[in-house]
Amino acid sequence: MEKVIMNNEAPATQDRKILVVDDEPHVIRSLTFVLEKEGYNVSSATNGKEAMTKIQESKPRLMLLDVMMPKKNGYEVCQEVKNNSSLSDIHIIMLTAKGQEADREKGLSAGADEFMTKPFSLKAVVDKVKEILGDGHETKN
Amino acid sequence: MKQKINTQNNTTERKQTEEALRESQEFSSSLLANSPNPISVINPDTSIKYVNPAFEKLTGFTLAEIAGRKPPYPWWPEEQGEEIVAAFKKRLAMEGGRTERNFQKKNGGRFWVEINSASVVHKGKTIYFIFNWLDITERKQTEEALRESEEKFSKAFHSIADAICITSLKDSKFIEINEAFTRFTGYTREEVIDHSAAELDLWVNEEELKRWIKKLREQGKTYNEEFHSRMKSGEIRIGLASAEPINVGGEPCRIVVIADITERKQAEELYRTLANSSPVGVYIVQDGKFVFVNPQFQKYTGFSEDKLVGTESLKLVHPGDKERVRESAVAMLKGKRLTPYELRYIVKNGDTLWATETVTSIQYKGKRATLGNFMDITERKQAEEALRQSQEQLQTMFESMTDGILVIDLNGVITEVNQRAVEMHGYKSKGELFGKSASKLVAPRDHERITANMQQALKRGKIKNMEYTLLKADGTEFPGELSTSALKDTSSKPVGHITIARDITERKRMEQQLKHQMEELENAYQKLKELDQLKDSFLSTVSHELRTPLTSIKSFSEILLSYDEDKETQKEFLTIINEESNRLTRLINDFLDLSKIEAGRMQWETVELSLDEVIQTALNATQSLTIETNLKVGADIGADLPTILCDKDRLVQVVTNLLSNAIKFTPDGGAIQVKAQLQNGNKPGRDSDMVMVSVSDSGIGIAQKDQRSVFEKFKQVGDTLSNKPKGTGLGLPICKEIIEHYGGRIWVESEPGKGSTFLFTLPITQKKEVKAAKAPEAPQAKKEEAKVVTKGGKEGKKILVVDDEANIRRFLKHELTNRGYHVLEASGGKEAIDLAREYHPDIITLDIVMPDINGHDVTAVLKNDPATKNIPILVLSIVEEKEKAYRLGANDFMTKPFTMKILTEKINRLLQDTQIQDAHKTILVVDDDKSLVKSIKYRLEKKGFSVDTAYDGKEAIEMAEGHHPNLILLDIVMPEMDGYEAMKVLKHKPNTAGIPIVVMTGVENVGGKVKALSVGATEYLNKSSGFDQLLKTIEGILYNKSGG
Repeated sequence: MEKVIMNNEAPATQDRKILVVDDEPHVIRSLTFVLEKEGYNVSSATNGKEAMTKIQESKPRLMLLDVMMPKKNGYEVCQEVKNNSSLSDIHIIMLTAKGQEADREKGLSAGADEFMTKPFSLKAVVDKVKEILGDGHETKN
Repeated sequence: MKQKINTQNNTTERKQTEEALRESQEFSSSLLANSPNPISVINPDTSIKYVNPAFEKLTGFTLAEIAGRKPPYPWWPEEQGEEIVAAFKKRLAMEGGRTERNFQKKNGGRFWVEINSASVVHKGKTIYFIFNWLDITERKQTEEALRESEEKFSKAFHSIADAICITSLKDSKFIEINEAFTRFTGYTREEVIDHSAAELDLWVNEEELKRWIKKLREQGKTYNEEFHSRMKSGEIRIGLASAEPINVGGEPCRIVVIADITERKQAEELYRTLANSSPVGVYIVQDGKFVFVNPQFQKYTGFSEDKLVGTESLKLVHPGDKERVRESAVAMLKGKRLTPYELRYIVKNGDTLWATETVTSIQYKGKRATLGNFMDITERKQAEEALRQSQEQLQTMFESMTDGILVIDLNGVITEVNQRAVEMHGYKSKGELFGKSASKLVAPRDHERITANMQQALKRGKIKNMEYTLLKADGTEFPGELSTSALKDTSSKPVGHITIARDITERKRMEQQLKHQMEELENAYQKLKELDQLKDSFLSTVSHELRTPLTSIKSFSEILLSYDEDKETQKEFLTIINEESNRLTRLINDFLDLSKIEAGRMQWETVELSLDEVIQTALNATQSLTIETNLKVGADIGADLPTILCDKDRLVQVVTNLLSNAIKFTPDGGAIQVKAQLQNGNKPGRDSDMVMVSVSDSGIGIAQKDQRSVFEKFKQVGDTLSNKPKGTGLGLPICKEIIEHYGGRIWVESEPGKGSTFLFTLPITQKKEVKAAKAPEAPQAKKEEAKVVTKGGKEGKKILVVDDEANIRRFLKHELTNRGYHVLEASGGKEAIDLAREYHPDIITLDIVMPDINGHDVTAVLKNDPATKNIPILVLSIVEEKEKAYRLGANDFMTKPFTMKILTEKINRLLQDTQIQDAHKTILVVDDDKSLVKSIKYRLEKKGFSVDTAYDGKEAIEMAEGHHPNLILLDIVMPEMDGYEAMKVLKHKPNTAGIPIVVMTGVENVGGKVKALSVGATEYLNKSSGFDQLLKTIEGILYNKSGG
């Protein structure tokens, strides 16, 4: 799948870097698809460990972080990131198929900016991303 | 002789004179000789010339012996000595007169003689002395005797204590009195003699005098007449006079003897005064009767003097004491000294008085009498009794206190102890503790502490509730609690302490138990939380698993709708959607399956299966997968394998799952083998008579540590090879549930890299199981009918159908006869009762509303009659009166209209219940999910339980009351009345309160267990825990096995 890059020269690629972390390939696929459509630069990881590696390699502006993952779960990643001064400015949206209030609080208290439950509306996710990154002017389609 | 002699005539004259002389001499001699009086002739030279025979006779001396003897003569007694010589000399000198002398005989005996003497003179010269004796011995003796007698009499007369006087009857003058008379009257002898009593003014009392005279006149004598006499001094004396006639010197006289009883009288008077003024009761009993009772005695006894005097004293004595009193009296009379004794009197008003008496023997009015001093000790006795009772009570209390009491002195020595203390410390008797040191009751390690505390107690007065380790007699220790109070004497000095000891073993144990329970509760709570968390995580996992494919479906749908992509991309995305949908579906199905199985809601269709068929079907299903991957699949099915009982679809599912796993985890080109054989296990027990099926692959294998967890939900072990569809994570758990439901076992044998073999066993169909199991006789059994058959078949079972409506009876008779029952009919209550008693049907269907006697009454009657009470009654009624029916003893209830299916179901069950009721435990299963109930019931009945069912709380209560199950499985969430409500009611009713309740719930509720337990549940299970857990729990409760 080729990436489609936005017409307008977006601000530094850095600013549009998004890391999608989920153990489900299809989820990565769908999220990557729409986000790229919106002009973001999307990379992915399928587990927490891989995620950390990718972060170190290239610091994204925002992470979409699934909770239930093998090896290292989303909370752990979140905490690690937030505890790391050099990484703590990364915005984090946590995604989970667990739907309880406790999880939401847990996520938010771990430092996530937002917490969204699956199944989510892709549009909602995109909007949220834009909101957090302050890219409100983007429209698609 | 004159010597005037003539010579001549001299001879004759001389002869005549000689003759005359001779005659005269002879005359004299014969005079002398014949005299009865002793005569002695003494020569002038005092030699004895002659003594006459009388003399000889008297003295015993013969003449021959004493002739010529000179004084002292032998008859002179020596003791008279000089005196007698002098007297003799006197006599010789003619100076003697008549004298009396006492001489002695030859033989020593004495005699008295009166002596006269004369001298014979011739020519002026004394030639002889003649002593003339007169024997006066007798006279003398008589005189002596008389004199003695007179002396005696005189002595007596004079020395006698009593006054004696003799008066002449002629002139009433005193002619003789004795000394005592003088003392009595104060007059001397001279003053009295020849005077009369009147003259002396002796009589004081005229009455007495009159009486005296009267008596004398009538009887001539008197006896002990009391009279007052006036002394010379004027003093009055009292005497007892007795008079008798007497003859004195020929004259009639009267002799009066007077006893001076003045002192005695005074004494009596004094005594009487004393007695009368005594605060103590005094009485005198003489001859067994009261002769004197003082006022106090009268007061005590309530009887007046006149009532008492003259009555037998024993009459007043309490019957129980009469004997004793009598004996005492006898003993006292015998002279024994008596100590005071206690006795009871019955007094005038009937009360019983306690008295203490001392009795003494006295003289009363001249006779022996008993003097009694009597003190009313009733009050004292009552006080004593009260004290005794109080002491007894105290003693009883002391002894019966549930705590031990010990009294210990300052040296730590036990001085008093109650029975409880003895028992508590394991001793047999108080004796073992008296005088022993209290420290032997306390464990050595506490000695110091207890000593210190006791000191404190003495100082402070008391010290309470201190715990120590105490010792028993055999050395075992036990916990005790002691409270000590100091014991002080009257000067408030401590003399010891009293300690109350309590054996707190029980309390400690309970504390421990409570602590333990609290801990357990805490643990349970923790576990519950964990479980909840686990459940949470399970739910989360499931939720996650479900949402994940859903996310993809939704996302890609969204993408497809939002973006126009090329056909390839579209196709790709649609494929993804499709795949995820499938995955979702599979997941949902698996999840539901598992949940249903675990909750026991699975509807099993158990049939006899041949493994051949099953395996074949499974192979067919997975064939497509194997083709793609070039895997070789082989099957090795034993010949003549016995059939097994299983749900066909489920078993196929199991084999399919195992096969697909094998396929998933085996790389291309590998081999898969399915084997089925009879397993005659070496070990006896469950694995014998089982068939074993195995699915082996040459795949990646499973590590030892993971071999168990493969059967856990959502545990994906190892990576599936990428081109295989992702599993749900529930496949093996479901297989496990299925296999275990049918009594088999599933496990894996594997080594990483060497492939895996999954195996399961299932029991083969047993001949008897066919009958016992609720399987129908043929696999194609009607699925509509309940798969329940009666033991021993329906044939011959008698049903009594009771209904007043002929149509209904006809219908039932028709339907039931078709089903193999033998039907009796009754159109009314009375007929029903009669038929029931006569024919003893195996079951009765009973209408309620009937004209003569309604169904409720019939139920009551039949259930109260021992002959019919065991016949199950199924009430069929249009009226919803279940509760009443059950209360009266109906076994089951159905409302009309009913379906035959349910009716036969109930009938079957009732018939069966009666057969197996006694032997088996009954479980009441309550859940609004009817299929779940059915499922649990099936499984429980297979395990040999008898099962009742109810679908809501109300029905549960009715069934519990009516059928008294041994245990109740109770769902919580139910309409009308939920489980908690029902449980509360059940625990409240006395006849159901004892039935253990196992709460089952499908709802995840953190506080659920605690709530359930607090309402009274015996156990709490989540429906997802599985049937095995349920069974274990039930068995644990019913059979007191551990675990559950």
